[in-house]
Amino acid sequence: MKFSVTKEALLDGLQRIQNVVSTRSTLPVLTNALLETTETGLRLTTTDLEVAIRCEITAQVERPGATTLPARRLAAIVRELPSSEITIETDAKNISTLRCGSSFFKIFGLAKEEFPAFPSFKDAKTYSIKQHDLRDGLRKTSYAISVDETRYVLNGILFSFKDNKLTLVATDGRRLALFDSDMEFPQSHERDFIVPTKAVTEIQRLLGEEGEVQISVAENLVSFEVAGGQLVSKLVEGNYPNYRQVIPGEAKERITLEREAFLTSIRRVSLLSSDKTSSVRLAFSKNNLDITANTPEVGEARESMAIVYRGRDFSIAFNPEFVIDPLRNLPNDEIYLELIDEMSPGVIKINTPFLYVLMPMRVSV
Amino acid sequence: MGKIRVLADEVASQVAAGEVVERPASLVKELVENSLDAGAGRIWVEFQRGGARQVTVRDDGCGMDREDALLCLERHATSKIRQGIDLMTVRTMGFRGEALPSIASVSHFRLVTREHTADMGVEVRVSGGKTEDVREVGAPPGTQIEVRDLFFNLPARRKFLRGEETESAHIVHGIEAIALANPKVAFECRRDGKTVRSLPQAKELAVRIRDLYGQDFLDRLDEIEQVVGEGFAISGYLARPGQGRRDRLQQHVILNGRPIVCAAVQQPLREAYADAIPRGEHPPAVLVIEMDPEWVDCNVHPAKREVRLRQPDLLKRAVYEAARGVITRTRRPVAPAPVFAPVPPRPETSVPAAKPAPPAPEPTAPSRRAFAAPAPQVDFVLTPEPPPPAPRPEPITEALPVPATPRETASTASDGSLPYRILGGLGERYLVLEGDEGMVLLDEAAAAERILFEALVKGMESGGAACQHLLIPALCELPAREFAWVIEHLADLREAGFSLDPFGNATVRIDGLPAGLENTDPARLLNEVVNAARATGKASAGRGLREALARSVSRLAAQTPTRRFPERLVRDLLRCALPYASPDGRPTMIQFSFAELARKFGRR
Repeated sequence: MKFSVTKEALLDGLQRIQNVVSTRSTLPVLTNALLETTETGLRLTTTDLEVAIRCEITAQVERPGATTLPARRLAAIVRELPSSEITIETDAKNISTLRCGSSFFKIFGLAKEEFPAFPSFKDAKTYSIKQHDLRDGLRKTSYAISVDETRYVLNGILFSFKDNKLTLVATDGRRLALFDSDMEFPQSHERDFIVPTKAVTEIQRLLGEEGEVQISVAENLVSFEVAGGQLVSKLVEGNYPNYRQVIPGEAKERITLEREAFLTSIRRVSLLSSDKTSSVRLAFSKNNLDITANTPEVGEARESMAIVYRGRDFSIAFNPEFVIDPLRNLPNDEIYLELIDEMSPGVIKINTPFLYVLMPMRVSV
Repeated sequence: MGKIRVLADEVASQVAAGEVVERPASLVKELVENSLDAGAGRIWVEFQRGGARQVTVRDDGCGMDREDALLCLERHATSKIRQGIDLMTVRTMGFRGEALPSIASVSHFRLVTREHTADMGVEVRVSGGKTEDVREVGAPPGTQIEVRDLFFNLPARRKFLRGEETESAHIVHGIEAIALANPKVAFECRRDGKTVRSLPQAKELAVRIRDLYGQDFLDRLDEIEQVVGEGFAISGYLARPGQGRRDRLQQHVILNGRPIVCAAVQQPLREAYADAIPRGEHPPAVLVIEMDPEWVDCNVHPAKREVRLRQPDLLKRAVYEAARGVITRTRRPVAPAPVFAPVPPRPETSVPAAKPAPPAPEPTAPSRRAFAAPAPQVDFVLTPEPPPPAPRPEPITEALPVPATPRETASTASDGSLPYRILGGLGERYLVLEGDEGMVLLDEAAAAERILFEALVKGMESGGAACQHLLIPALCELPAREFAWVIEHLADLREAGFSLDPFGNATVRIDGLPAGLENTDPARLLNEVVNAARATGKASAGRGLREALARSVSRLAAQTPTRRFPERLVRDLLRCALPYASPDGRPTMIQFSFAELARKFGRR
């Protein structure tokens, strides 16, 4: 195999795939990236057996072939190379030589036959959605994914294709983020599946602003395919909890808040809530919101915000992280906070189909 | 008729001797106590062949005249109580009037005594209970009692004596216990002609502790703040955190000058040290309790080793408070003594002159205060000078947590910077810190547990720990007993940050968890907490249960990785009332001082 490629293209490709590589794998070949020539260039693949990702870059192929090379080392070398034209040549023993200007590297690789085969999709249902929409939806929900490994069905995002809508849901049992996007698909394609956290992170790297993404789902695999790249992941097995039941009905109060100001206030106040058992209190009174935190023997903080509010005076406590997360990930200038009473869940909404349910805390102080 | 007879006095004495004189050590104890009651300033004890051949106890006490010398050998003849009511107020060591006649009835007995004002002393010889000779002799002032051939007339009894070594050890141990209780009396103990203990008069308890058990032992202790309760006062020394021992042999309790074993002391010590030493270990202690004689019944056990207290709860509370005072005051990481420090040899035959100078004696007030020596030099790591112990006017009823003053001064240097420099991580669970005195290793999980534990307990005490409600309530099915426990303790669990309701049929519905348990399966959490709390459930309601709950909650929480920054972790830890131990008593930090490192590297 022999090909030439620009430094920028190769580095870009490697950076898109190298995060999947496992650092301590029992299977040495999994720390490698598979390099295959195609008609138009070069295809790079990595996998950890849960998630596989590949992307194509343009390259000048002189002699077709394939090999595997240590992914992170290769990326590190390419990043440091001096000029833009790189030539890689591999011999029959999978030893690759890399030339670039005055630099010369010899790297030992493993045979391409040792690399796991990329899964193929048969009988898959296929959906097509705008890359921008999916990226937007993942950004607005993925922060709420649970990191508790004992509740594995929550370690991912629920993709629910129903009623000509894609609904994305993430929750860790204390808050829940939900995003809707209209799309068209035949009724036979209605289906729910859970995409694991790692795949969610990698998809976000793959998605751009333009074009469509093809989502194909088979029995226990899902594929996300964009121009020049594809990610395949196992699905999380199990049933996602019935998220509809946790969305509260009629709200008593709907308060419009300026997102940026609200976010920075909570951030500042939360500096004085203790680390582990932290809470901030939101106290609503006529046209005013007081955000307070206090930790015994540390101190207390208070921020006041002018708001439009005519309801009864009351206060409710939340974990500040749970409030900050959606605020940070929403682009809107205004958000709506819907509340019932101090013991009932609060809901954050925006103008577009999105909602975020968060449970209050019971704090004695 | 005719079957029941009154025993001859002699036989009665022998029977009583079985109770009083169990073994040579108990005989020594009786005689030494008599000497103390006689106001002795020095006591000499000498024994041979484990005490079976011969025991001699000599003192410089008040002595007796001829009449008393004879009378003291009659049964129930005593100078110490006169009527029944006196039993209520007895302050002397012995009082039953049984000891001497009992001893004399089972040995060759010789008593030589002289009052300080008398010209001549008197000698009485008794053998097997029969007075053989009474005569005037020349003698030093005081009393000397010599007991030879113990149990010579009770061969069965004699057979039950253990080996010489064992009996000797018992004797020496008994003398040590008494010596500890009477630091102002000098003791000299000789075994088979060799001095095995020589204890000069000590003005303070600390000096006596050091003379008996070594500086090393004393270093492990910290003086308690004297507690004065209704009808009693407690002073003495208690273990610093992390200085536990596998057995209770180093727990010494002295009640009104008498070494005793007392559950009313052991139990609160166990509770107080639950989070300061590992489970299964006991804190060394030297506790001196002065109690109004009316509150204590010594007439329970012939050897007076056990006592009955009228108000054990007050005493328990006070001991607990005193222990917490010591625990929370200590601001020093546990030193890994076994690794580096060679154990100094126990002063076996100590020469008084070779001793380091005792701490400067305070003007000794005649009161209890005399027991309370100035605290031995305490090296505080975090502050240049030790914070003054906060005065506690009302130690018994005061709410527990911790004087604020030492914490403030200790945790934050005046400019708010850490007293440690964080050098980095070690493996997956340790931090390496540099302090003024050397290297400190910090166990991150243990530290996180301690921080959360104190936050939880504090939260519970101020009306309930924070509770994070759940989006989707979890149902948790429990075994019958656990379920019953949960139902019974709903309020306590609520206080600990749970929110749950019975859901019928041994199932509870959990809709809120203690805040900070970011990522835990609710059912599993409840199960583990309930089991842990039930296991320690005997501890009374209130603080005991709270701590048990907080302990298990924080242990589980600390298992899940946190996003803490090392500096914040150290800062939060130092802000804790008890930063140097995890809630179940494992150390959070271990210090390797520069001196130890130098020794290890052969630089000294």
